[in-house]
Order: sequence, then structure tokens, then C-alpha cells
Amino acid sequence: MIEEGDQVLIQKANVFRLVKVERNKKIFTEKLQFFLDNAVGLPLGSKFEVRNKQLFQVPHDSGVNQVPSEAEVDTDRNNEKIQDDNRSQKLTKEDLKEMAKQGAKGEEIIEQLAQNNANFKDKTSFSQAKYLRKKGKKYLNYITILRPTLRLLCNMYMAKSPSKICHLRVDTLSQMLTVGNIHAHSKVIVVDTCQGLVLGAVMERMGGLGTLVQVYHGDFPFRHAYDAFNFPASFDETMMPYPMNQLNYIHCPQSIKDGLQREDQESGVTSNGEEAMDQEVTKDAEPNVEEQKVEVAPEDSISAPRTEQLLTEEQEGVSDSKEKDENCTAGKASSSDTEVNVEGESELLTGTPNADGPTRKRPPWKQYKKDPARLERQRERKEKIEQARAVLQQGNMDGLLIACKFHPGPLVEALLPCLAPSRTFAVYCQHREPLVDCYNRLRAKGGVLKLQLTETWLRNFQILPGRTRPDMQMSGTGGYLLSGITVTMETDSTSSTTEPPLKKAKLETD
Amino acid sequence: MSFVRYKAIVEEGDVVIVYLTHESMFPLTLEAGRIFQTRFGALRHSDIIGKRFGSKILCGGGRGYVYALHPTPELWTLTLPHRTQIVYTTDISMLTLQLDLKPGSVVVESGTGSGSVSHAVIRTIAPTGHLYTFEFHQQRAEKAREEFSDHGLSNLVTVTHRNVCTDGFGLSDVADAVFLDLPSPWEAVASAKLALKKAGGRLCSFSPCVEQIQRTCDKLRSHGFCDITTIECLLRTFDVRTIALPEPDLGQPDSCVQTRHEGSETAQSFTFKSAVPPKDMPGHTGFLTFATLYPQVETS
Repeated sequence: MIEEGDQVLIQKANVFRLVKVERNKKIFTEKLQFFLDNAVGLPLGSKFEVRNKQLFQVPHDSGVNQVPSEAEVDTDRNNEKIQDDNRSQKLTKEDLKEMAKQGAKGEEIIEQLAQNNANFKDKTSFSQAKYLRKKGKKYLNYITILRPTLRLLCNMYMAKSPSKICHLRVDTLSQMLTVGNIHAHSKVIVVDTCQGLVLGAVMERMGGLGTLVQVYHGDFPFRHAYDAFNFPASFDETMMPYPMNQLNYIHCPQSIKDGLQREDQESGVTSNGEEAMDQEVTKDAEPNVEEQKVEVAPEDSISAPRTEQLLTEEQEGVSDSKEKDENCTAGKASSSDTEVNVEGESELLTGTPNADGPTRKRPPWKQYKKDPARLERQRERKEKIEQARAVLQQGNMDGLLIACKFHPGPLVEALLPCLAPSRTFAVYCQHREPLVDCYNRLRAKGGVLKLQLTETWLRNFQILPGRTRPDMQMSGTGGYLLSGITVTMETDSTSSTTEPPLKKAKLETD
Repeated sequence: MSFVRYKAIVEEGDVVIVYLTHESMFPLTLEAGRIFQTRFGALRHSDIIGKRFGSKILCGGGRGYVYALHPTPELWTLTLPHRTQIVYTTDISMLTLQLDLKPGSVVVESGTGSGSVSHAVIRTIAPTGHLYTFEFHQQRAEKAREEFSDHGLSNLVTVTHRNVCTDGFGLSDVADAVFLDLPSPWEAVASAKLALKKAGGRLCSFSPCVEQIQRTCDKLRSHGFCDITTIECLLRTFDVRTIALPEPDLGQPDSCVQTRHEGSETAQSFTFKSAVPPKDMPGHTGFLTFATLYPQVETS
């Protein structure tokens, strides 16, 4: 059901957009403008036509061309007589504008275009279908409203801004979840700088049952993609955030508490620094991210040193602009079938819940600092971190997934001891070399077996009667995965390798 | 014991995966007093009972050792007794994600085969989902039922002995997803559509041959399935090792006088850590075809 307040995906042709369902809110996507009001209460997966900025439900085959069957495929027609002189179309731009002005439907315009195209009847039925499909993208105003599933979210990020999810391709993500044996009633650690996509995926597979420790980087747990799953509030109770910069303190409770107190005292003094940071952050290109950061930053007393924070902001800025370049190139290179959205990053984020974002104005810091609500939130957050630490300390977690922009080696070394023996872990990295390093560290340390460094290869196919072939374009890489199983650590030094010595010797001399 | 819930200590009657080497693992149902012969020597079941999963177990009177691992659907896929060709973890991962499976999903599967996909699906849809799995070979259906029971999964799965291509699934409006692994999957498409929930769902068909997907896709289109995509997904496993390439001997750099010198004494190597792709790897498993059935619209 399409419900107010939920996040949904809007699909137009091959382009997806994440938006929040709100009444009287105009949505802009792919040159279309409309309100979602008419869709509320209808099933997710419904298809609509956009007319006068309103949505009207239509059957799913609307605007879809029938695929010619094998019997209909003619072999006598070919492109022998087709002239490539740009004069085949009799209709002019003005004619088309006039038709649109008089309220002609997209289908009618396309029909006219085909009729007035001198070459259309000479095309093969496949070529005709392709022509109609291309025109359909331009003139048909159909959208589909979908549940944001992991599958669609991953593809959306991959098409729009792959660096935001560390180029984690859907097949690689699927391997992680399976190899990591993620299931309900398990206790899983996730390190994710992929917008919370992996976190959301894990939470979905756990169904809100079990324990999920989120190791986060920066001042607060970032969960943009996680929020898109529309999890019920009860799921949040199974989630425990734990800051990355305290991973070294999992087993030393005293120092962590000292650290917290010290930073508490400092926080009053550094308020100026925080103001400065706020200004710095507003320069960022991502409106909602900065809002959330500005909102949360001051109440977080156990954050990384401020300078470090600024540095990261800048780094992110750099990678984002690079990302845009990448998108543009991808747009040029893509075939006509795969449309790549070249719009900016911020577009992706416009769907975030921001009801109280821009309107809420923070009171002066001196006043805000003593705000009881803020102190309460701060206390709750600390409590959750303490809970997470206590859970990690027990060393009987059931799974570990890492997908982040950092070198995974130190993270694996810090977190692997938190797993019980005979549990699986999966580490993703966009590059192979850090995982080679990881592999060697783990082999040297012991306590793991079935260590595997893998990559998956993914190819799409066009399946049509008499015209089956692989797609012309394919993804070159989906990143790399290191996985393994923990076992009890060796106590005697004589047999520190988990593989039989003979095999190991063979590998190295090879 | 259950495949869908971890536990810490091995008990009698549990299934453990005995790990000998990277390539050699066996599933073992534990009975006190029994002995399992490995190439590293005799392994007594009672030596495993009472230990933690993941423990090192001595065998052959202390001459060798193995590890006793907690069973997972992935380890099961690697060690299960083959009654048919099976679908492996790479394809299973992809179909699990592409079918939008999660706890609570209701899934229909045919054929059951050796239960490789079934175990992985049950893991993901537990504890509130259900798998209806259909197998046209009676013995295989019975064997699968037995296995699910031994693995503590009986309440999550219904095994039916039936040829769904001729007799259909006999289900309507129950499933979130359908998985077909049949020689002629197109014959099951109409019945699969019926089994899917009216609110819509996903379908996956696994076939090794182009002709099979060709016919399946035709059938899916004519039955109103949308977003039909076909993919192929392969796994490449790298061998991580240190490689030393000898530096070539180009003669003395600073001297134009050609002298004979001992190469072996001065020979240096360029040493590096590398992830080496395999010389041979599986180049094809099967095509995975996915399709969506959208909720039907009442024409107003």
C-alpha cells in the first residue's frame, strides 16, 4: 500500500527516484511534475499516467509495446532502402508542439511520428519496436510507484552515484548477505559507509529479530539508504550504534569512560569550533546531510576531533565532484537502452525526510547545551554505545559484514575477535589489493579458515524471439570480497596454520 | 539443532560439518560411540560432542586434526549428498536477493532436487515464512523431507511429490516468490502465476540453455509478467600468494667492457603479493531469468 510518510521509488522508464509520500507536495522527475495525492491508498507496484500534474492509475501494459513473436519476424525487410538523410520525418518540431498543446496523448503523438516517418514501414518489426520504445521514453508520461526493495535501491545508487555505495554492485552485495549467513535471530556487526545500504539489507534479512551493531564513522550513524526501507520503529530497538574511533576501546572500559568525561568537559570550551564547523558544513553540496549533521553534531560529545571532521568533509566533497564527472562520462558512453541519470547527487537526497529540517532553528549554543531534551538524547546515545560495547565484549557475535571506504585490515582485526567460533564474515572492498593485505594478516594471525578472495562477474542478456544475445554494455567490476569462517584460536604454537602444512608449502613454491 | 539458528555447543544428534582441508569437508550426524574414518585418521563422534562449534578436534590418536563447524546452508551446499545437479551459492545469493526474500516471505519452489536452494531459502525466510517445494521424483521428495526434519526445518517447509508441469502447484494467491528449476519451466508459468499473491510477486527461473530461457521468456510475456531480465553470474576465486620474478641480467650498467660475471650470485628477484586468477573456472552455470507480476488493476 502506498502510504503517507513512507518512502517510495518512482520509476520512469529506467530511471528511479526515492521520494517520501506527502500530500500537496510536487514531485519533479524526468521532466514530469505531479502530486502523489491520488496514489495514496493504492497498492505499491501500481502504474500511473501523469495528466495535468495528477496521477491516474493505468493497467501495467500501458505504453508497453508487444514483443513480436518469432512467427511475426520478417526476414524480407532490411535497411537496404533506408536513407540516412535526416529527412525521413515529415512532422516538424512545431507540429509536435502544436499537437501537445491541443492535448494529444503521448500514444497519439508517437503514432503520428511513426506514420509520418518515411522509413518506418521499411524497418523490420524489431527495428519498429525499438523506434516506438525510444519515442515512448520521450512522449509517454507513465510512472510506476514501487516499494524500495534492496534490489531496486542498489541499482538506483549504482546508476546515479556509485561512489556513494563504494561501487558495491548488487551481485556482490547478494554474495555478502548469503556468505555472511545473515538471518533472523542472529547477532551481526556491520561496518557500512555505503549510505547504510548494507545496514538496511542486513536489517531486512534479520526481520528486526536479533542484534545489529552498526559501527559508524564520524559523529553519528548515517542511514540514508537504511531509512528507505521503511522499517517499523520496533526494528530500531535491535540496532546498536558503536563509533569506529572507539573500536580500540572495546575491551578497556575504564579508559573509554575517562575519555567520555574528558570530552564532556571540553565540549563547552570547543563551542566556537563547532560553530565554525557548522559553517563549513553548509558549503557542502548535500542539503539534507548537512542538516542532519548540523542538528546532531553539537550534542555528540564523543565525536572525533574537530579537525579530523573537517578533513573528512573536504575529502567527501572532492570525491563527490569526481563522482559527477564519472556520471557524465557514463551518460555519454551508455547505449540508448540504458538511460543514465546525469543529474547531481543532491537530487538523490531530496527524498529524505526533512519535515523539521529547514524550519527548525537551533537556539544559541549556550542555551541549547543545557536543553534537557538534548541532554536526554545524549544520555540515551551513550547508553546505547555502552550496550553495544557490552555485546561486542562478550565475543559471541554471529556475523560480520564490512563494506566501507576505509582499509578493511584494521577493522577486521579489531572486530573478528568479537565473533564466536564457527561464524562467517565477509569483507567488501572496491579494490583487490587491500583485501590481499587483509588475507595475509588473517592468515598470519590464525583463527580463520576457508578464507576466500572472490569477485563475481555479471552479465545481462536480451532475450527476444530470434534475437537473443548478451547486452552490448556490461559492468566491468562489482568489487571484491574476502570471506571466511572463524574457528577457535590455536593454543599451541606448533600448528599455527589452519591449512595442512603440506598444501601451504606447495602453494608458496608454486 | 537447527540450520536457521546458531548455537554454541555441539550435542548428540547434531549435524556438524567436519573440515579437513579447504577442499575436503563432510557432513556428520553425531552418535556417541561411532567412529568416522578420515584421511587424517579415525575421528570419534564423542570427541566432538560437548565441544564448541568451531573447535579443533584431534583424530587418529592425536596424529591429525579436523575442525567441527556449525552447519550453514552454504556449507551444506558444498557437502550435501548429490541426488541431482545442484544450484551453487553464487546463483543462490543472486536469486535470493532478486526475489526480494526476507523473513516472512512465502516461496514456491520446483524442483526440490538435492535441497541446495531450499536450505538457503528457508534460512532467509525463517522464522515466519514458508517454503512450498515440489519434486516429481518420489524418492527424492521423501529424502528431502527427511533431511529438512533432521535439520530442524520441518515447520518451515512443505515437501510435495508432484509434477508441477502437468499437474500445477495447486496453490493460489499465497506466494511472494516462485523459483523454477525445471527442464521445461515454461510449462509451469501459468500455474506459478496462480500461486503468486494477487498483490504481486517475483518469479525466477534457472536454466542452463538458451532455448529454455527463450521459451520461458515468451511464456512470461504472454502471461503478463513485466520487467523480464535474464542474467548470468559467475564467481572467480583468487589464489593469494607471494610471487618472485627474477630480475633479468642486462650486464654491468656502468661498464662498456663486456665481462663474464656470475649471474647466480647477484641475481635479484622482484617479489610481490598477488591475487592470481584461476587457470580454469566454471564458465557457465545457468541463466537466471527474473520477472515481476504486478498487482492487477480493476478497470474502472
